[in-house]
Amino acid sequence: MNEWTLIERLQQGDQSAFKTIVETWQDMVYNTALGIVQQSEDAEDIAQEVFAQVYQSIRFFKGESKLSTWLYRITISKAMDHLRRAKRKKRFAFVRSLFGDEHEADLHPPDFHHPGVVLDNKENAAVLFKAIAKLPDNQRIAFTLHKIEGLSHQDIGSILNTTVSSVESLLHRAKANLRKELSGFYREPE
Amino acid sequence: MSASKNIENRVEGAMNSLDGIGKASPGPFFYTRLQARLQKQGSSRWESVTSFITRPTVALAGLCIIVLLNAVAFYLRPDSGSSAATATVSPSEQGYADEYHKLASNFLYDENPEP
Repeated sequence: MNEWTLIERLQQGDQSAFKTIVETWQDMVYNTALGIVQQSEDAEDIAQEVFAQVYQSIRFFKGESKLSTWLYRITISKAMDHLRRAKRKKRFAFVRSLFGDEHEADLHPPDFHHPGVVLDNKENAAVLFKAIAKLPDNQRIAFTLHKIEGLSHQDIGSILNTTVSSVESLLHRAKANLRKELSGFYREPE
Repeated sequence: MSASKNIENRVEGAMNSLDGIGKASPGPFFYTRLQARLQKQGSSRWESVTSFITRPTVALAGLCIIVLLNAVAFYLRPDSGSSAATATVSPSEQGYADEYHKLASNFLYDENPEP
């Protein structure tokens, strides 16, 4: 069944079309969210939010882009909202820690281990994910889509509504910043 | 091997650590959990509306507004304080009253026919 038929059926309230859409794109949405927020429970929560929004606003989808592009955009937007909330929470936890009410999990989150990374690379990948978390938002998104979702520069461009050369520039800067961050990390005495 | 070369190698190792990364999947029964969330969202919308309306402050404020509107309507009604206006009956109103009386008496007559 093609994508547009599914969308039309969902717009008419067909539940089985919704189930097909969820089952087809749930891994893509979850994997993207996980790459950005680096927390499996939060990624699942975001994936649910994304499909809930799709269900509620499918009538506004005009088919100007591919469904996957639309899903990527919603996922990125929800994941970034989540990160902003988490940042506020972390700031609040820091203020509370000054008064002795320390929440360890909020201040120092544990290392993130992506389930798709091969065992030999786990340790290196955890360090890299820590560095990715420090990148500016647009570099972080572009790098995640490229490395974790394996998207081409052109696909990233259409998701972020930008040109291929802008995506290349974002990725170049992201890699430079990551190298700088990682060098600093490995230079520190362990 | 110099320290800087060692660091460089470690940086490159970390940079390449995501090569060939596999896709992560949500836990099993994702769709079932999503359905439960959608149902909860639907009911919680009504719950939030009713809980807002039944808040004592909101209910009291609503009651005050209704009382105030009634008071305003009572004082601003067009025939307030002019009882003379209500006493006078225009000829057309009189005609209508006469006609209605006739009709009413006809109905009474029709409904109670003489044996």
